[in-house]
Amino acid sequence: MKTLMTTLALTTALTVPGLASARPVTFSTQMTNYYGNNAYFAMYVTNANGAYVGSLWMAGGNARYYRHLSGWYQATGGDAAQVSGITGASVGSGRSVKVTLDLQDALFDAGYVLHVDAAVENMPESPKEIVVPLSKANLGKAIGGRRYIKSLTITE
Amino acid sequence: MKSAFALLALTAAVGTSVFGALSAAPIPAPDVTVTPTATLMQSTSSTAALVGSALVGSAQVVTSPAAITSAQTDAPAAHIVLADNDSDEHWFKSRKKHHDDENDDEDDDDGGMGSKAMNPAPAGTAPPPANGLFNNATPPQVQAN
Repeated sequence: MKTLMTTLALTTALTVPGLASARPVTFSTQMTNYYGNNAYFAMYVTNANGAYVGSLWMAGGNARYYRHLSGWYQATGGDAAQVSGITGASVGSGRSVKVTLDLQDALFDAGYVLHVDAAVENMPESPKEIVVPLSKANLGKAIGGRRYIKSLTITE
Repeated sequence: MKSAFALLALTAAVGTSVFGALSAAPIPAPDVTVTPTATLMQSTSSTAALVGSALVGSAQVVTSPAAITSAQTDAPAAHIVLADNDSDEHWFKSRKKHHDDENDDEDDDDGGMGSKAMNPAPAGTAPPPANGLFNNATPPQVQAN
């Protein structure tokens, strides 16, 4: 009985912090009216030193176009496994997409930076469409893009 | 004696080129576009063995007043138009080829066995990558408008 209680306590102690450290975070992206084909965009994270940490979302499922997301492609070598399970459809001009991800809490206010690269067929590529620190201060704010993304809003 | 023979050979070569070029000069207008090529080929065939391409160039310069005179009087724009068309065509072709090559590259990557880039698993069909950013218990949720 004593062993069972100890095991239970230990399991709870290990599990609860794990649950508490994750949170659903929503990325709401509104595209500009750029009057072109659907846009591909990649959202990925670098650390305080600028090194690639991982990808958060890929809009666009055909890997042959990923090289046009030049920042992401350079960081990953175009490795589609980096966006396996976190890939959705490309997004049309003037459309919006809302993606909710269960992210680690430690991502915020730890020096991580969110990058968004965007590309549209037969139109200029837009690496660094958005570059913004992942901080709680930026939550709820509409962050403007350079060319194809009108705004990106991160909320909890 | 040796140098005198070389000089003689050189003189003969230049003379042959000049004669060939001059004899080609009075060809009528429709053939003017061909004339420089014919002159060049004739010069080349007659002199290449002895003096090489540099002398061919100078022989053509020697003949050019006659050729220019003929071109100016008969069809002054013929050379220029032909040259421009040729240049544009090559440029266009190369640009088209580049475009085709680009498409070919992208087609090569389009899935299939042995392709360079396989498409990633769509959200919800596979867990997110273990990159330390996700709590893998919950799959991404997407809402598009």
